[in-house]
Amino acid sequence: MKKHITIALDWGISPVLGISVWLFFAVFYRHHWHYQEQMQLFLFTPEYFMEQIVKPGGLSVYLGGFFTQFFYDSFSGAFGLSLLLVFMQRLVADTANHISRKPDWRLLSCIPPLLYACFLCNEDVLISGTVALVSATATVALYNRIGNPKVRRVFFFLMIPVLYFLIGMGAFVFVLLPPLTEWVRKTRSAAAVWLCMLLPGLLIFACMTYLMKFFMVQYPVERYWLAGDYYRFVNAASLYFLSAFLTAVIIPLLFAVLPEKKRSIAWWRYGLQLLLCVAVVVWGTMNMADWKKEELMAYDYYARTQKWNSILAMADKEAPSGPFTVSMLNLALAKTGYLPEYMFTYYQNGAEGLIPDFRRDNLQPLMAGEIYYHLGLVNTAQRYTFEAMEAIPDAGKSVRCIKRLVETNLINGRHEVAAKYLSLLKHTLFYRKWAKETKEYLHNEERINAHPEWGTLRAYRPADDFLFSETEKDQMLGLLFQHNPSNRTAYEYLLGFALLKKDLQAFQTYYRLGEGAVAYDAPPRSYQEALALIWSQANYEQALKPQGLSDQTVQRLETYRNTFTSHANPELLLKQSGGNTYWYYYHFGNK
Amino acid sequence: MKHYIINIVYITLFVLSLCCGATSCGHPEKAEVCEEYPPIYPNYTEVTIPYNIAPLNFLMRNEPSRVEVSVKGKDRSLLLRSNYKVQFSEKRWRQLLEAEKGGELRVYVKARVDGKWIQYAPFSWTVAEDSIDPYLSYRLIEPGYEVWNAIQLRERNLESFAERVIADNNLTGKSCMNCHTYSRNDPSLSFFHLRGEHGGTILNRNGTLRKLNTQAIGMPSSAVYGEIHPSGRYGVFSANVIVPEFHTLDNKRLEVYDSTSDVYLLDFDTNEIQPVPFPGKEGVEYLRSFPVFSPDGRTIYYCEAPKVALPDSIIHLKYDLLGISFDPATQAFGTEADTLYSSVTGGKSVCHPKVSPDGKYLLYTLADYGTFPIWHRETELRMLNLRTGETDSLEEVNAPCSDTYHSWSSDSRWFVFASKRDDGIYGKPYFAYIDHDGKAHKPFVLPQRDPAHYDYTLKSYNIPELSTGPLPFDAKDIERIWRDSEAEEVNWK
Repeated sequence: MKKHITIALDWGISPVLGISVWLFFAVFYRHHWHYQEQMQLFLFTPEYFMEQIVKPGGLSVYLGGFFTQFFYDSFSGAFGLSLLLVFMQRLVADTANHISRKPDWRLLSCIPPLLYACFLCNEDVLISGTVALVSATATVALYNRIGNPKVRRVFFFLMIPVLYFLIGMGAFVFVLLPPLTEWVRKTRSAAAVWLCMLLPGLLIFACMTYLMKFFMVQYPVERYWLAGDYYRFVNAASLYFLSAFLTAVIIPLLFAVLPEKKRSIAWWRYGLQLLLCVAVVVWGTMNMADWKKEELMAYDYYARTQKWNSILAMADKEAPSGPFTVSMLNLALAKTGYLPEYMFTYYQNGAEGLIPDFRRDNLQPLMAGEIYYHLGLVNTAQRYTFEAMEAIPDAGKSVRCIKRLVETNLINGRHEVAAKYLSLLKHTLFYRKWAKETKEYLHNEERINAHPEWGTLRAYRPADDFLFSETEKDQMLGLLFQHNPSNRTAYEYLLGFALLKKDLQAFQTYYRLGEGAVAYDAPPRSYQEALALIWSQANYEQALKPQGLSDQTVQRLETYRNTFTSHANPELLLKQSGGNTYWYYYHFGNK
Repeated sequence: MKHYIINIVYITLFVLSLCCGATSCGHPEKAEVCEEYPPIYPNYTEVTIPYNIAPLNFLMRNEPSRVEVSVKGKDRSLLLRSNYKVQFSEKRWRQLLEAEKGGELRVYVKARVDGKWIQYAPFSWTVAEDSIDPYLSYRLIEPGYEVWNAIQLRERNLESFAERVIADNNLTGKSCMNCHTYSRNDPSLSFFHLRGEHGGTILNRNGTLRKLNTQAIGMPSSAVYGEIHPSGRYGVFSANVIVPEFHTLDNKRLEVYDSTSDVYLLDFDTNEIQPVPFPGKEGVEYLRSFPVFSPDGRTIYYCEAPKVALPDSIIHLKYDLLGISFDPATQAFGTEADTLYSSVTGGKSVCHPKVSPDGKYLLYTLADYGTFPIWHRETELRMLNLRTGETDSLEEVNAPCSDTYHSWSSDSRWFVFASKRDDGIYGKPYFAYIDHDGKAHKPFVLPQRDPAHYDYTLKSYNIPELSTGPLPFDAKDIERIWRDSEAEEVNWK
């Protein structure tokens, strides 16, 4: 029985771990990884490989990028990631076995990969660290297989600089584990381990950082201590890695002291280990997983891939409330033609929720840039894209930004620079096909004009130059619309902007701009509500009745006004009966 | 036995592949003649080069499977067979250019495209007898808008491909750093500005680095554009409050202008600063920028424009080019300024004047308007002969996109400038030759070991400057002075 349980544990843990991690990152937490995938430009060129590999930790950076690119499809990406974490578990178990074979405690080997998986919930933790830890533990496994003690020692001292250069900071796992393994296995005396292995090993490790600084002057020495770029803020020390890496050292060593029961099954041990694993997962997901960001990244992903209905479906489940998520919802409403009708069905947080202001960040300008792109302010979209790429903390490039820059430059007729960016994309795995197809558009103005998106946006662009002004967005929207009255998105954003600013006079002025140019069967709901409000402020003077305003809307307004005036504190009541109206927003929204 | 069989298989495969290559791919001797130049990048056809330049490696845009390049001079020649990237041996290249100094090299290119050999029209490389200053410094930065990330100042040896980092903002708190400027190509006299916390103007005088806070109380900003006096004692700088704006029209990108600016003289010995008392018209406010010294140090050239309402009247903001006398012994300035270019009569705006070390020419940038020519596609270089007053429009040199940020070599025979001619966005250093008759020759881009370098890099080369030797500091020294030294304050004189 015990033998069967042991075999089942041995073979069962890894698949269960792998499948759990795979499902979590492929289904429940996939948008963080879509974000990661966009924030890099992994090229299959010798130049790119050399550029990465010449830096300490370069191999783990390169392989980390290699695995990350597969998150183009979250199932493939999560498969690669889970494979790495399973390798990590197997290698930790291998070292533990080498120290003392205690199958009852096998579940403990899941703790380092589980802990690491939790850290990977942070969007700035990169896969390079996972690669580094797997490489370090794999080198330990190799070390353990060398029978000859002299060869083992040579291997140890040789591999410290090699490993440091290849995987960076994670090499310290290799500096610690072999000497401590020798110590707990009593193959060498404590003095010999400390004096002849551990201290010289640590010294070599430290020397490597200063040696690198000597040869590559352009980084601060901290960067060499933290070599491998496991964290997107490359110069920032993070305790995440230290703790995960240390568990990979401590857990195998624990096997030397853990009790063993040879004959019967100690169920409590399995229970304890399981509890420990569950505790790690619960702690990790509670502290490391950020579901608000996951929501933001989901909105961004759907906007980027133009899955507008997915955005609406998400918002129907739970209405967004942050300016960027709301702005993506408003863009989706505009792209599906529902903005004037259903804008106030959802929560609105002011003009910031329509077109957010610029912030120095690597995601938010991209989201705001999507709005400018679809409005036809192509130069602004291009600027936001460029700025977002420059704001990536590790100074990397972004495949998404490069792709968008190809589009904006093609729309602007800047073929040479579009060709330069395409020549980069043709060396990627997942954007190669797009690059090849898009290359056909270079220097082919007719074809660009005929493109359903680029051609339209080309026509939307302003004909006369004006300087972009963050504080005069409505004026820019007005100019856009006046240049091309078929730009319905610009018109609806212009009116939406005035409504969200609660500027009814501006709304009235802008509304008239579209009369005759933008065809609606009847004025959409939010416009009707605003028009009714304006008319009510003129005491319903018949001569001033706005065209197209329905009597039904006026009746609804009157009902709303009755509640508003007859209660001392009507907000809650009106939220229930008229929370989806412009009037409610006008009185209570975006305070 | 097993190994023996494997060896036979390999040898057979090798022989078969050779036969296949010989039969299906033809010989270069039977090449089809094409009357056009080969589609090479960078475009090195018909350029004039110094005899001490690194190999002009290039690639073929049509990506042929094989290329045969023959470079023939009067006494020496060089034959190279390669794939689509043509990379010469540095040693053999150096020998060839040394032997053919003052002569002409003919370059014959044959390429195997789709299995057929093509013989392209040959082109020439004229090897000038004048060498170029062997070092070049530049700033590498993404051509962004307002946000920056990685910025480096680098120094490149033009005689080889060796390059080193002389400053890196990774080591200076990610701060912005401006371009590095020499005085008269002298590596022991140069400066650049480090912005942000712990920043300052880094002055290199005879290898000693100093950090100065060049903003005296009441100045609109710290030093921006400027130059060091040939004596090394003074610096003339403009202080500018710079405002970036963003165009919405397709062919324009960024507009940068000064809301206020003026010119100051700083004495590095006493750390005293004084405004340069330029003669102005009563009741008119001026913007002044880009001050430089003449090679004898007795004239300050600068650009000046009457203030207009900005940004609304930006297209009316046009700078004149003026010169005013200066006495280094007494620090006295002239009372009248000479106008060398008038925007009223010329209709354009001048930026970045640079006088050749022999004092014969003044090279400047001309744009339709404004003060930030790198984002003005119409920007071109002009060369004013200070002796005759004639202006050369440098047709051989200018290209449709921005050509600016120029500097001279110490012998006044070469100048380098940043050009965006390839794609309109990414600036690259181009070198142009001025022969003894004052004629400018077609420029060539800074050669790279990997000719595809410019395809892959997303950096722009800003303010390339030539120098006669390597700088006496590196990025570690800049890190040290940034971290450990307090900036010296300057005071009003």
